[in-house]
Amino acid sequence: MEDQQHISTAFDKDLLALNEMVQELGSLAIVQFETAIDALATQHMETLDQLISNDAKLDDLEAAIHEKAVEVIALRAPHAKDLRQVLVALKIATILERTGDYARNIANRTKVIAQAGNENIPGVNIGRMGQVAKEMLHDVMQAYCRHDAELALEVWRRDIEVDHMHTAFYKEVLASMARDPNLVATGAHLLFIAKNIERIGDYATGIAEQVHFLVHGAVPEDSRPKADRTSKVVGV
Amino acid sequence: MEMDAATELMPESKLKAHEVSVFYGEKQALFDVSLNINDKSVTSFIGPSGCGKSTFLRCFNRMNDVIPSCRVQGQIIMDEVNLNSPKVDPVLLRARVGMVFQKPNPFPKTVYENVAYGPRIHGLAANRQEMDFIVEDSLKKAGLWKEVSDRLNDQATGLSGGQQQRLCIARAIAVGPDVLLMDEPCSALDPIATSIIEELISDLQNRFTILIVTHSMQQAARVSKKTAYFHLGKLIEYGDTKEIFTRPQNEQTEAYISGKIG
Amino acid sequence: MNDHHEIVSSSAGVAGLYNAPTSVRMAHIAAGLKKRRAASKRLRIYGIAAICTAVGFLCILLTTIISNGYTAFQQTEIAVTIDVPADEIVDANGAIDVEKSRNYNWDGLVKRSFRKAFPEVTGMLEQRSLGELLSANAGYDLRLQIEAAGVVPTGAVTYWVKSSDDVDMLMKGRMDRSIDEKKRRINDAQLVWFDSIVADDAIRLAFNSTFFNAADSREPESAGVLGAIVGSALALIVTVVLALPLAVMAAVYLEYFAPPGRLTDFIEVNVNNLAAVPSIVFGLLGLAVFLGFFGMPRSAPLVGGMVLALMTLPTIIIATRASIRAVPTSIRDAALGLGASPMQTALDHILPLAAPGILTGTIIGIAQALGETAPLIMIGMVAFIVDVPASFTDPATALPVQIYIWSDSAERAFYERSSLAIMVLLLFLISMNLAAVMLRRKFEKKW
Repeated sequence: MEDQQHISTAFDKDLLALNEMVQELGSLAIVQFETAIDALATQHMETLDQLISNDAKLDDLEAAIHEKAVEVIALRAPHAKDLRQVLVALKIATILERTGDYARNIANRTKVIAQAGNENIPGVNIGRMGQVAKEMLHDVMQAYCRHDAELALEVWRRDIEVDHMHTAFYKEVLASMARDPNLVATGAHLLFIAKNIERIGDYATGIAEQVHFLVHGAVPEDSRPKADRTSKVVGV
Repeated sequence: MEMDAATELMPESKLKAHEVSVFYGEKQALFDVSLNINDKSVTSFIGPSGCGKSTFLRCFNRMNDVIPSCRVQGQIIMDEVNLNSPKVDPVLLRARVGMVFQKPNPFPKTVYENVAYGPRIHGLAANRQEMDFIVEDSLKKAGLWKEVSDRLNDQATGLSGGQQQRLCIARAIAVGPDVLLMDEPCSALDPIATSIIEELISDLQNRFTILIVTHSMQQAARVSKKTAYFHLGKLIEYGDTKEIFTRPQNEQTEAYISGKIG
Repeated sequence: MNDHHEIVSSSAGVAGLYNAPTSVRMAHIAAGLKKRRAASKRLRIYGIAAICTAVGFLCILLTTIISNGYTAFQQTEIAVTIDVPADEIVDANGAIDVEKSRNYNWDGLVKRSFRKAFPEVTGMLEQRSLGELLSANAGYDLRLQIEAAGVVPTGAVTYWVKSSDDVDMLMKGRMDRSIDEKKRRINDAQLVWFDSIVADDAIRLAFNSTFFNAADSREPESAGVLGAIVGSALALIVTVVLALPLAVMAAVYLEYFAPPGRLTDFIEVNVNNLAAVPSIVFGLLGLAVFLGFFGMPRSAPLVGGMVLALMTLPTIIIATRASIRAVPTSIRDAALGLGASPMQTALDHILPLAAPGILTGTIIGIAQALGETAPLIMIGMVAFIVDVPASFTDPATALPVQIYIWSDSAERAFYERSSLAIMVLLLFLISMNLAAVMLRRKFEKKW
């Protein structure tokens, strides 16, 4: 933090603590997501169960961040950048917690797919999509840590890639399901999993917007680049 | 944060007030106030003007004795002695309970003499060397030493407002009290000087039990561990500052904190 | 309903200008402005007139005194050639024998020598008349002069001898030569001799040093104020030594230690009343208690000082209390908060800060005491004292009393001298008040 220090060291400590909590939540969320993507391929049961139970930790941490933010606002009456810092921490914590929820959701569905035991699943792109989304999360948390609005903007623009991949995967799964009706159940889950990953990509851009707000005092002026055409897909 | 958890586990009551009432002639200014003050921490008293917080503060060092028509009932216990009993000598008491006032009031003497006066009258320094040490140490603890070390023999009235108030704090510390009473110490100061003194108070709480009366809720929020809210002479709510400012239990407290009354 | 209408209509009428447009309001105010300015101007004129009247009376007072008194700076002296017979005065070794000197008839010597200048004057009555031109103490003065010199000059020397007070008045033009001889103090023959002395340049007006280094005397030309000044000074020293500490301690007690209650209120009211008591009452008190009951020496500066101390006490108490109250309570709170006892607070902080005010009050009180006559008369300082007092218990007089005594006497010369004494007294009073003002200004800057 190159920012000047407050005369009140307690104030500095509080903001620092808040920051660290958010970063910890970010690390946890990224790990959860990473694990979920890997487990998609390995379908390792223990890993999946562990992931699902870990989600409670994220919920607790998000509640703690909430509590801390309220405390900082009530006791320190922050202004300007300090205020934005607190608000942004709140928002990002919520986003990260939901990211964790999606990771858990992916794990749950992966378990079901594994139990169904289907070999024939189209899954090439999903791993790749997950990877891109994971990198977005990682980079945007870096941007938050360093208050780097440029990096955040760059992540913000990457989401279009995820959207493209999602649209392609969607069509692919629909095609699979049309060819082989036995794959419908698995395919449905895969669609949801893909949707979750796409949402996580959106969340990363949400975090990027918050970082921009933190640094510049306003969200990015251009509208979020969106390329998700799945809602427009009619038939195969 | 771990430190907080540790002290939360062992709060020691340095001062216990038990049903303290204060009368000015026939008029009652304070109604049966009871609370316990934790050792080595900052406790603040807030409330609208005329709510009795300064009156209550002054009970702790018997400064109310100076007002002719004032009568204090009830008990204030420190180290198992009731400070309010006539057997307690106020002069001795004030060597253990120091006070800093609203408007900085250094004596019209040199900086050195101001700090040295307290130790001198109580005979705390055997010779000049010891006195020099006491003065330097007190000024260092008050965060003023760097600014005045080369002008100890200048008139204290030549310092700025914030410096004068820190000098008054140094003067009170020099006597080596356990408790420091501060009656709106920053209300006559600009925001930067106020911040400096609040930071100083944060440091001092490791050594002293500090009671601070303030009309700025924000200051109480920034500085104190526990807060007591007074209204019209009654203690309305007393608890952890964090709780009072995020979830006050009494709706009167809520109204005051939110700026809806007084 | 009716009330509502009344309110509306009356408010429309009463507040007519209040609700009127700005231009109407301003026109009205401007119209009234002329009267207000005229009233201000009148007030200023009254103020100036009052000041002028006061200053006018002051000028009249000062002019009268100065015009009457300035001539007292000088004393007429007549040149007389005298050959002091050494063998009548000195002893075997040639030094002056005090015993012989005292027994010698100096007066006769002076008058004989004087008569030599007027060989035409014969006859005892005439010669006595001539001798009356010189001071009655001329011989005494000469004796003192020779004794002070220590050696008798050989041969005839011209001495400047003091003239009588009547000749002095004549010389200074204060005697009306045109009135009837029987009503004059200088008869026609004496006038002729006087004129001849003047024509011979054997008469001069010299600086009246006697006024400043002699005590009272029956003869005006030998009278001075030194005795009175020393008496006043001694009395004032006693006053300050007694009144100042007592007053300061009483004020500190009343301000800080006295328990609130009826007794304290009673004391306070009476202190204020005492400041207004006529000074002669203190004189009566001194007479009854100090002289009557304790049997202290009459007319002594000690007793005078004690009486004046009683008189000045309330003034200094009131001034001290005002100064103490002027010290901000924050200082007292700070000292008490550190654990200073009330006595330490008063001595270390309050009194040093109140000192300038106390000092000023004391000086003003002393200046008042300096000019008091009535109480001193009551305790007997109105006696005729010819010696300069050497101690606090020697009989003495005070300057204002001396003025009173002199202004009462018949000789014109005493009248002149009492005016000069008034000037001396005024000078002391003004300088003391000036000192008070300067002290206050000097200390106020520091504070």
